[in-house]
Amino acid sequence: MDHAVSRRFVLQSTALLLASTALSSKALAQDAPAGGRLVVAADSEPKSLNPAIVASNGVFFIASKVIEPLAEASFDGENGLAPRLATHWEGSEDGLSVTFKLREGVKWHDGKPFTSADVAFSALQIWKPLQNLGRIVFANLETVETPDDHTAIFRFSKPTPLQLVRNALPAVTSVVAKHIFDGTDIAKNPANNQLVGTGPFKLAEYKPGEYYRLERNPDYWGEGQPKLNEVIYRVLPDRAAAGSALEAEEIQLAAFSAVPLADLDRISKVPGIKVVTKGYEALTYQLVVEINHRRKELADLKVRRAIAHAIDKKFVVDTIFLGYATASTGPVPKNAPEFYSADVPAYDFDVEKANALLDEAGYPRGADGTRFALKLLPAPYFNETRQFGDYLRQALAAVGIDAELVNNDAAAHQKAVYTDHAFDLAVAPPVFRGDPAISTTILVQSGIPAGVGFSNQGGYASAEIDGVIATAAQTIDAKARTLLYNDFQRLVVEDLPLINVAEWGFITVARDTVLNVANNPRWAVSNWADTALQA
Amino acid sequence: MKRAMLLLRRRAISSIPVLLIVIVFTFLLLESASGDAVDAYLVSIGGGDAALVQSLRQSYGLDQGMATRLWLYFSALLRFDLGWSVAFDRPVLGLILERLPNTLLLMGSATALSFCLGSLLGIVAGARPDSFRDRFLSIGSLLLYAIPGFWLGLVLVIVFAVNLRWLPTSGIETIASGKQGLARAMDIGKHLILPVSALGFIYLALFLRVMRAGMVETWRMDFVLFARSKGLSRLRIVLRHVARNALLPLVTVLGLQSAAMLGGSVVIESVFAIPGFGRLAQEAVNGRDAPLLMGIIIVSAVSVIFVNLVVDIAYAFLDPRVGASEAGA
Amino acid sequence: MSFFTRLLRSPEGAFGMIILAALVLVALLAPILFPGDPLRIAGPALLPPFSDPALPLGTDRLGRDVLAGLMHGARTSLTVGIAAALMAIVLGALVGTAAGFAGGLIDEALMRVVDAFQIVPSFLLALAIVSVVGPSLPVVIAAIALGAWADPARLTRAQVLSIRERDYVAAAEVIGMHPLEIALKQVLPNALPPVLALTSVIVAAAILTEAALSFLGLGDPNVVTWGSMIAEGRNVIRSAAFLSIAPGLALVVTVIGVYLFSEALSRVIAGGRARP
Repeated sequence: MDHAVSRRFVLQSTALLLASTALSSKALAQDAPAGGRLVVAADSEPKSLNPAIVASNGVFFIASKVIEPLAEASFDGENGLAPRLATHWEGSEDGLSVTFKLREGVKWHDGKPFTSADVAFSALQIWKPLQNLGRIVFANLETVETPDDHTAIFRFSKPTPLQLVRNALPAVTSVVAKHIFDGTDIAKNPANNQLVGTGPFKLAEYKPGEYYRLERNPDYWGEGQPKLNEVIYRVLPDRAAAGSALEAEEIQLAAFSAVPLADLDRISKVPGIKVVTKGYEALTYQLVVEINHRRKELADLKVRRAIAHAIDKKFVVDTIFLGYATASTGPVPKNAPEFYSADVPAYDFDVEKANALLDEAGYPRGADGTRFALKLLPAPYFNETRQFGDYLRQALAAVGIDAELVNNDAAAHQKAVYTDHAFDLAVAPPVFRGDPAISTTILVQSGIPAGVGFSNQGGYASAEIDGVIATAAQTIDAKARTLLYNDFQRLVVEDLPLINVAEWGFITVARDTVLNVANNPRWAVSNWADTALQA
Repeated sequence: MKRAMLLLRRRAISSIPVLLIVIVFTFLLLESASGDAVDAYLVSIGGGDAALVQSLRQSYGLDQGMATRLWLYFSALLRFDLGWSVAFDRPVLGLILERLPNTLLLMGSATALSFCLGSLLGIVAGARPDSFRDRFLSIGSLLLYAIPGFWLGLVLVIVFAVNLRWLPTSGIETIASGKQGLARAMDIGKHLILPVSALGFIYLALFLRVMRAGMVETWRMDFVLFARSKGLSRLRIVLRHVARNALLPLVTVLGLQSAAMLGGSVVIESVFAIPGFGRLAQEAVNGRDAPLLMGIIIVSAVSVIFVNLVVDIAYAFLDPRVGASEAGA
Repeated sequence: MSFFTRLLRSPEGAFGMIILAALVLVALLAPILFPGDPLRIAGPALLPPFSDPALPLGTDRLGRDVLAGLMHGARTSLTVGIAAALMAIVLGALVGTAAGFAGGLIDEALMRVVDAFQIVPSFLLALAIVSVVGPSLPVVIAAIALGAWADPARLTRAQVLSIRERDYVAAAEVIGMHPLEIALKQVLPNALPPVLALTSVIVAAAILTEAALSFLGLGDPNVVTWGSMIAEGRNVIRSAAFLSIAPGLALVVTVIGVYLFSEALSRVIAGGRARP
């Protein structure tokens, strides 16, 4: 994997990489001791735990151990995938069908056999109509044929690139049991929380506000798996709590940067604790400045470019993310090498140039040194998005733009930005999910109705960019499609419908006794079948 | 006894309009909120399209008019139905009843701690007004009062749970431990020591000051002067006459403090990851869960009314001079 | 003997006055000593205190000057405290006077509203209001005031009830003064002193409430307050404890100053009233 990251990041991660590659070698994985209870920090309790309906990392973190997708992301597998419930997949030449061979001898936790009918049901009744991401990927899915119990053929009404389907497999294709959901009101089915899956663990107990307890599935299809007897998610809502609990040996693992970045340097020196930066390569979060193009000043490309020049990405990476991030060049992150293109314009940190551009655009500084004022809404979801908001306000002040910060909670932010458009600039953390068509092009595409979160609600419209997106969506040839997305990146960075500032993966902190941590690029949200505890 | 019953009935009747005001005010407040439960939910799932938004709003009943919803709420309330939590997808009453015991345990212990320790130190301080001991205790308790509760909590965790490892960092009991009976009670007790200290120490100052002030005042009263002239020992006067007399205002403060402590538990429960009422309130706010927040405010209002009622009755028994008619709102 | 000399004679009063005077001085001097935005990035991040003369107390997570933050924080924290207390006292005094003076049904209705605000935990109320309306300084102040006006209202009403029976009020009625005039000119000024003694308690509580709201992420991001400094500092409480201790100390000193002052004030008022 191509990691163009800051020096500090490399220095910090090299030692860890050495350690974790040694641990994740096959030999060790099979020799890993069986048994034990792994206690993990969880910072939220998702309302619905069904990953087939809610494809989000908060849900996957718990549910991916119980309900499995057709394939999982992998460091060394073909096309970056490792088989799970599907063992083989193949697309037709015309892009109108994809055939999946399914794993045999798999049983649901209630003992019933897993068959192609479950896959067909999940795809047609849940992923396509109900799932937040599946709605996009499977928009043109017409039928799923099941010639036998272990074959499922997906048929599309319009060409759908195999590349897209493949990249979407880990996040979008969690399979649920037909016999449990068929004929019920799916949204209200109790099995959305009392999960029944095929995964290595069964959901045994949930005490709201306290913990989730997963129990080993003795009939799991993976040989000798899972290693652990129990996985417990302990609910720790306060950010300081995970670090303290790790040090006190009350929990053994905190994923998704539950330990604040500022505490990592110190906690990495505590004996018995390791800081792991790997394992989030396929879950890249992007730090983005969303722009409301309805504002006259911001509709001017010169002003947008001035803002891009006013942001010191190095400061953002080094100080806000303490080196645990990478500066962005465009809308596709560097650790998606399949699509990433470096052939885009660069906006260096240059206050003078920014000032000159703003003067040129016809917004001279007033008597008080400001050119114009605007509202800046940082998303509240991460410490870092808020801190970047604080920084951006200062960076804009340096070029004479007076930004007023508006801190909303999650619900109010969602409404202000994505429904009411009551913002000038916003800071958002969208996720790159393996393929630009899943959740990235929607950030700049025009014609999206108000109310859709993490989408273009800034009123930006470019016929050229819309055209590239539409063509790529139906281009079957992977190479041609990739080239289209290279164009897409160049066009976006040239015209700046939004400004990509940095991209980051999360950090896992674990006790040394936890083995096989971070051995795939979606590790925190994968099934943990080979995760083990040293006795 | 009859007087107490009379008081009880009067209080219950006068509480009804108060509760109505609370409900309508809260309803209007939440009505003016920017972003509703659907917005909060969309954030948690990472976005969705317009049709999904529409269907969600419909299923939550958010597409109906305001007056209709207020009316529906009132009529449900009469059947002790606090509605349906949209964030948890469960009945509000069940959620609250599930969390309330933890908070009552936390608050009860913290109140007991601050009441006992506070009044004890208040007696010590008030026994010799304006002495060094008095000044030291008064300032010291003020210091505790002035420390933000969450900060005190964090420091206690670092010292006693992380560094010394005497006590657990957070939670209400060891998770999935399978402990029963006495072992479980001990376990819960161990988990409660830090949060109870953090919450109790804050309010200690209040009881100390009231006790001290009451003592200082009674020192000058005739019956104490009389006792002193009889040559009774100082300790005896303090305990038999002065402190006992000063206890009455303390009981009143106890009632007034119950509301403040309920508010303080929001922050403490967040720091110590205790699944209680206060954290539920925060979760309700974050999830824009209007029915849940309404339920929480109503239940806390009822609890405060109840505590004050108990205090009034206790007061009436403790001090025969106070007639039920005087113990107004 | 003047009010102030009496206030200063007690050690509590003197000490409290000194603290408060120093705070006011700091608050007034902040924009002169540290012009510009105290949230400006002034140097390298997490600079320890006493290591750079230009940044005597070091910098925080983003490289902002801690000393500038503390001094400007005094401004906002005191503003929040005093503004919230004033709002609460004014609202409480108005409602209390109206209730006490009008009597009957109006009194009954107003007091039920006061009851309603008293039984809802004020922090819960502030939490709900700020999260619903959005965190900005005026909203935070209003939310805190709304949770604090019930006590002054109740006290004012009790005062009004006792004062309106007095001779000079009866005299004013006899000479045909308008009831509103009596209420504002005769009753309120005499009812107010004990209510004012509550001010300092509310100021202290307001400063602490603002800190707790900031801790839960509900502070105004455009201004620096001690509460927001503590809330941010606690993320690095293990590696840079100073960042949360310094504003914490400032908060403690202020609250103590306010309390001592109020203690002395209520003594002076009580003494003053006892005098014939």
